[in-house]
Amino acid sequence: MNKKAIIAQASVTGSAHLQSGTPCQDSSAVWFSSDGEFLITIVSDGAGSCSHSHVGSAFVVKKTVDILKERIEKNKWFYNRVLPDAVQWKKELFFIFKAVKVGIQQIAEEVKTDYKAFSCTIMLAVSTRYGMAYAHIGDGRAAIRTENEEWKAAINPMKGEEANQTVFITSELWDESISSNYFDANVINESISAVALLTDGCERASFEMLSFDEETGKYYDPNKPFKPFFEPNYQNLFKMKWAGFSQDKINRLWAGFLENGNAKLRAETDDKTMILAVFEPENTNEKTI
Amino acid sequence: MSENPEQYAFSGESPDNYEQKCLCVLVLDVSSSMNGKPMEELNQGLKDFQREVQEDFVAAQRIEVAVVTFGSRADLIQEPALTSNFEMPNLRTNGSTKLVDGVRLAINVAEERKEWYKSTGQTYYRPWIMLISDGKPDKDQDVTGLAEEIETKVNNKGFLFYAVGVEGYNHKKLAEISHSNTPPLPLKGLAFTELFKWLSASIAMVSKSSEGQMLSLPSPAGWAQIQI
Repeated sequence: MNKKAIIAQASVTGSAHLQSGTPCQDSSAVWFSSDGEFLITIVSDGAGSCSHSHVGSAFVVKKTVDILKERIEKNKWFYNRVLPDAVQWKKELFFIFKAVKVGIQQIAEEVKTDYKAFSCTIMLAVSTRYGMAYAHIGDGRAAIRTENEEWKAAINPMKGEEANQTVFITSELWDESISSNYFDANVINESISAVALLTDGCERASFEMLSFDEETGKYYDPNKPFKPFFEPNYQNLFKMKWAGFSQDKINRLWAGFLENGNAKLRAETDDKTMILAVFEPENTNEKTI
Repeated sequence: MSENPEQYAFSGESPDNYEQKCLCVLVLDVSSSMNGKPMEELNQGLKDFQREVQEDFVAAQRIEVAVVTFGSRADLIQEPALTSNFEMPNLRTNGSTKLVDGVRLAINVAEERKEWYKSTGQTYYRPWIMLISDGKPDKDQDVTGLAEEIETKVNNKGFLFYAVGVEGYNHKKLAEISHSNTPPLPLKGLAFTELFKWLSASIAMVSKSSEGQMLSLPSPAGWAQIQI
């Protein structure tokens, strides 16, 4: 049996939401396969303008994990170091997201509310030491730590024309066609030592995302995980695990960090969610980390 | 082995990212009727506005302000800029009320700035245009045409439009120009300082919003005459 990945998982309510009495609209979920071979991580960011988006995001992460587990089992993906075929994966995820959208429509009907009131983004990754499969609709960012200890982006966030716009799972934009620009799913065949998934409330603090290119005179989004943000926490997570910290304690410390860990995190007014998962090397030796 | 719990705290540095921009174009009536106390209070309010924005660390890096004035003619007296990059001009009264020309100039400024944001790859929030007037537009001013333009462009999410009437203003004309969802609000006395405090707080909220968040802007009761 493989050692399970070590994770830190937390959502914290943004200061703007605290001021207006709005609940935290982000949700997240983590699920480990029984043999520790892979883990599912999901984050979802409820639309700020939608009254039931906190319910929507909570439903979406749970429902998606439930369906995804079954489909992975059926397809025998991720067992015996077999990653999904990228085309098959994309097709499967398209139908999973559609099924989740139908689920939202059903709960909306039960409470006689427009299902758009449940709008939220979704971003998921199924990660192993030898690769990752992901899918997402909307914004948020994902980072992976490669074998040579570099951090790189795993997805491109979908942003609207204005700074506060994106696409949601409840939108009609993505499900008309599997090749829609608003639905993205793919497989990364590469050794991975850590994965991070985050909602957009965390992106300014953890990613280089608006830089200026002096040659062209233009601003651009490098979509680059900031190593001085991720690497210390990669190391810290190992130390906490080896010091015997409970999952609950790690998550509480992680929430405290997302809330108040540095000036950028403190200044952010949006809800913040981040899951950091690190894989212990198969022959773990503390001194080698 | 004794362990110091602090040794295990999470920590990490953040990168320097440029900030997304939120433009506010002020369209200000400087016709002769604003002479005296109203102009003094308006000038004071503008300075208070600039200070309020600068005191908010995040808003100061995101809010750009442009100033258009109109009297006998419309002028862009301050190009869009962060409030730390210019000195708020001291306004003087000047002639009649080319209100439509002023608002049209403000719309151009907002549209050109949006194009510039796009062409340079910058992310931005929907611009605000804020009209403040105490008069009624000159007879040669195409109020109906402007009203149609504002209705269409606001519906198409081109910008947000708000109008404030200073004592003696023509409510009918200002209501005609304004978008149907945001009728003009009459200023309480010469409460310019309160108006601009509200404006800086409101735009600061918008400039930190996310994903079409439904915002409850601060109440304008401090500066507007609101019928309850």
